[in-house]
Amino acid sequence: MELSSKDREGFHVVEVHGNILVGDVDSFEMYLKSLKSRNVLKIAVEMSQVDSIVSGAIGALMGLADELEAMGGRLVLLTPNVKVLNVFRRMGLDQVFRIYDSEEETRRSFS
Amino acid sequence: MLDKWKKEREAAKLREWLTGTLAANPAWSVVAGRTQWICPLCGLVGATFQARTELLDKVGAHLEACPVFKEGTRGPKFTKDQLDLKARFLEVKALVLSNPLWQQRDSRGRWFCPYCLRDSEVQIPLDGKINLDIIDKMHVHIESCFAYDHGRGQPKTLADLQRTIQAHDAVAKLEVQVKQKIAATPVWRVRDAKGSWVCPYCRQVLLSINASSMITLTETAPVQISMHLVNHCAGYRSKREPAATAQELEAIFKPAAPPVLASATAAAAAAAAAAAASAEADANSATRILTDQLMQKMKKEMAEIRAEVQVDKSARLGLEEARKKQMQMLPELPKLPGLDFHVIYKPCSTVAGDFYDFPRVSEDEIGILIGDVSGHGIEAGIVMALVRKVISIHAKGKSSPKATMVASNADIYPDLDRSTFATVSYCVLNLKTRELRMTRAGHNPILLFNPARSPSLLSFEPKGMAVGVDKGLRFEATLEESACDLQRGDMLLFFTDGISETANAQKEEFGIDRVKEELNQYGGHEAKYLLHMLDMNVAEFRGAERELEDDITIIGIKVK
Repeated sequence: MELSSKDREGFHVVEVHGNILVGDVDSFEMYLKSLKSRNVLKIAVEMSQVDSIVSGAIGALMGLADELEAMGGRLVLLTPNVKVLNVFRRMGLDQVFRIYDSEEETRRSFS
Repeated sequence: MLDKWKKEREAAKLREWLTGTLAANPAWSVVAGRTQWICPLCGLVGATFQARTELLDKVGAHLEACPVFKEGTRGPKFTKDQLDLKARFLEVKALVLSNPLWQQRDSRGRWFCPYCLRDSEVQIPLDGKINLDIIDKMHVHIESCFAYDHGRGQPKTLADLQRTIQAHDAVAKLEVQVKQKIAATPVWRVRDAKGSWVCPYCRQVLLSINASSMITLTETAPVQISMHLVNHCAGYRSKREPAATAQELEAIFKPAAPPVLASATAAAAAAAAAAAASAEADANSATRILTDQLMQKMKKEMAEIRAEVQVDKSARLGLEEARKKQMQMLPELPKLPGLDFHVIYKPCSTVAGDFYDFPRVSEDEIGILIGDVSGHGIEAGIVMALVRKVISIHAKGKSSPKATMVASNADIYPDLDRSTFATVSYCVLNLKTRELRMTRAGHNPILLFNPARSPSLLSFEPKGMAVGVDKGLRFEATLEESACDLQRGDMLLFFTDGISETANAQKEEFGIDRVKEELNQYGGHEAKYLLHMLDMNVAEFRGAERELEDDITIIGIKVK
């Protein structure tokens, strides 16, 4: 798994490249938390290149989403593919996270 | 004369109709063993023929006597699939009665399939007499046999089959001896730091053999150990007693000290050595006070490191104690008439986040619970104990698994932080009616396999949100309960994501589809065998050199 990020108008996009496996969870969580510590509070995690995500990484997303909301921010998911979307659906978490199909939609939701 | 002419005309019309029907309707052209035509109206062998040219006349002759045809029925009463099934049964019957390849059994009387070379639950009596009931059971296996592949596969040779049976007999015989050795001899109980069994012959760590507790060591390990010894262990082939002692094996596989301590200890040793060298150098010197000061400093550092080592040792011992306790708390497998339960449970770290239980719901109902707390280690271990206990308490008296899960989630939610949740499958099985009521709170699907069902593999995925994610309203609204009536031959499979998310060196996941393939392949066998094969193939997929990255729990239940 590799991570990169870019600033967009009014929010920050974290791009995930590759699957998030058990061994990736710590670095994934640390990367997201480092954004929060830099006061980046509106985050969209772009997941179009992710085919699988383990439960530990979903836990990390949930934890951060909660912390950001408490600070007035938000974490959303951007363009997850069908496989990942099915994992979230299987866990009933498609109702917990906001999921968007495009950066434009994401931008509107943050504004 | 007129009657004769009428009869000839009717016969000609029938012949014409039959010629068209045999050519056009696939249900009318099902033949078993190339010689037996099966009537699609009455479902019986209607004609036996040697050459295709005889078929038309013989079918015509059968129809004149066929009671269904005489009633005026012309459309087939059986589908082509049903007739093909019947044809395959007849072919199997003919082979079983005439070909020794189909009559092979092991010392316990279990029949071995000549295609997949696997043992089965089909018993051939000692006198070797095979009746229709036995043939029927063989046919049930054959219908789901991946190697038979609906008649497209090739059978193995008799020599291959007999070699396989000999190896099975050797494993079965050895299993008893291995159990005795484990109970009596410490060298057979040695395990590495992760709880994997260490072979006293070849001194290899067998990652797929869980020896983390006496339960696993005496229940699941003996058959795996026997298979290793018979099929893979070069050291065992000498058939002598192991040369190694338990102490020697333990010394080889003693867990290495944590790096931080190793470096600290090395630093201390270096410092002490430096101090000793320095002291020696200064022995004849007038600056003895400085040496003393240095020694004092070294002694102080050594004391600090000793204390550090002691703290870490206590922590490690505490974790090992927690693991031991957790393994001791594993629920016993239910012993119920007509149901064969088996479980494989492998924690990846000292303390596991996976859990399972079989709470008694009422006199006639038993619960089946499997779950996985996100993450692993001590924190997941604590949450797992909480979730398992709360669900087991709420299970009592509640026939509806949904009611149990809703009440449990409400109790568990306030105690979890937002990054921790548990995926859970919880079912209630009525032992009288054999109705299985299922809920799935974000967990993997519940799989059911039975070659006698159509389709033979079912995946139950009622909707539901993971436990601990929502306070209550959404959890209850999304949680579905579904039901299924179990029948003889059903194999139920529950598993955690340590199975489906196991990744190989190329970072490819094992995935749920491969779990289904395994179930298709081994689901006709006993639960213990299915779980063993699944576990072994997942370990093989992961790669022998790679350690477990997540806890593994598999439950198999065979309905007999």
